Amino acid sequence: MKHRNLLLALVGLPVLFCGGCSDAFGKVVTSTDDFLTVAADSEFQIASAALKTATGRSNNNNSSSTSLASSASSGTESVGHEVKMFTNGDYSLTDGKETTIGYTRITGSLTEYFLIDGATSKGMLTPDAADLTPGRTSAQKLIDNDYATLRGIYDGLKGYIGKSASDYPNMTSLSLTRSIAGTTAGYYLHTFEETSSARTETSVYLTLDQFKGKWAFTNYSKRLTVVSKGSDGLTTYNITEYAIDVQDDLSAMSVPLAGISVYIKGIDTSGVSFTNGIPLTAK
Amino acid sequence: MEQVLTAAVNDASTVEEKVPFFSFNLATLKRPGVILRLVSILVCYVAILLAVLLPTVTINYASYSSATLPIERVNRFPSELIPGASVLFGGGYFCYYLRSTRGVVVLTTAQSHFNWISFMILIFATLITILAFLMTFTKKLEKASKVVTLGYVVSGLGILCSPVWFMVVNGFGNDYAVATTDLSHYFAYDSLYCHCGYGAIASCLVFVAAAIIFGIGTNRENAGGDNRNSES
Repeated sequence: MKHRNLLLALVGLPVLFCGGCSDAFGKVVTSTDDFLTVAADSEFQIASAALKTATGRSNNNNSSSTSLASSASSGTESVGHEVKMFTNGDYSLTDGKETTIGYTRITGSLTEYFLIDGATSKGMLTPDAADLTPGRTSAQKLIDNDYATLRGIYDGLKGYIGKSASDYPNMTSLSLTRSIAGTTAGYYLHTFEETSSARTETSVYLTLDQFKGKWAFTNYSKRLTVVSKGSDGLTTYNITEYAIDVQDDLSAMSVPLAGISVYIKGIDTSGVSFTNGIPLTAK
Repeated sequence: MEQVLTAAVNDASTVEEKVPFFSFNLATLKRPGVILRLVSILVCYVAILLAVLLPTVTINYASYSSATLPIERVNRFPSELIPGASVLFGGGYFCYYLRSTRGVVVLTTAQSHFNWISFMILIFATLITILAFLMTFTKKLEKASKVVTLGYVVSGLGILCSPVWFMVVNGFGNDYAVATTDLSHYFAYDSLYCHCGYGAIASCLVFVAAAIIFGIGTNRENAGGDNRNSES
């Protein structure tokens, strides 16, 4: 009897243990219930939003793409735009070519505003808060557009529910999966398409994070890889990435003004005099 | 005289053939050494069961990947326990972070593949139990007792290395995605998040326990000298 109990314990114990173990977080998306309700960007404090793109090609001669020795690769990377928002409505906006900074400096009871061109390191000092409004509006609009773009992609993923590769022309493989790890969720769409001339692999990653009980889009990456079937074995890449940073509170902006050439709005050098009354531009 | 010698030789060979390879009888089963060896086989099967039923791989970022991922993201990731059946036979889904070489961090989902390395380890452990069983009931394989003990331990260590086999078989966290300047290398290298699940540790300990029990059983058998011959 004692041996029988021991045997039961030996077999039963692992089963009991297993009952207490949790599963992994991933699954296949099978219905709209697998899609989370995502809040509008106006419900969050978005500290930054950025779009980066990259394109490239490598001639691998049909050898392993991970072998640098046998490949000649080239690529270009660019920043589509990058927006950062700070307290007091301060902002930094980079559109890939030019950087504009709107900065509020409060010294005691004095409040002054700087509109700085990051490319030339020149800035305008103004007492008028409205001078920062157009830039701030542009920055906010870019954030809204990025968020709307991600929402469009998210809604687009719902179109793959219940579909298989055979539902799309030239598609040989299709999978749409989702994971929820605590307060982070990730959707992953992976497809392969094949024609007589090329093989295309598409990977779409959309990641959401939960803030104060609401889901927000935070990271997106799409990679399109096309491998031509010709004798050159050319592989081309197209990468698009969005990064949105949601914070509980925006941080204060800090701009080192020492290296910036500042001029005062509405006043040119002829209107400036020294304390002894001699104009700055006097000959 | 010559005939007597021939007869003696023939008799001797006849006696040798009559020695049974196995000696299954009640007296054998009552020996503590035999009982311990049989228990070690059962314990080994429990270890195999643990490796299949309990989570043998854990994905846990806390404090491990702070060099490559934002620390607040690392801290928010709960331990992801991947069941042994999913690790072994594949088909299950699990998730982990990928950090692109351009900065974004995405949570991706992957489907586990059949883990032929872990499977072979468990097959090896099963073969070891068969050897242990054969050895228990015959004196002829006694020299291989160390092989059994070593086999149990190696099986345990093999299961303890489950995260390594898991990464190799499923092609993540290795040089498949090493970051370089080549655009074909898209994600940054990071394998520090893949660890042993408690099932791998428990299974390894049980394998070691089986080895110890078998070792004690062997010791008891050896202490009994050649008593088995008389008992059989």
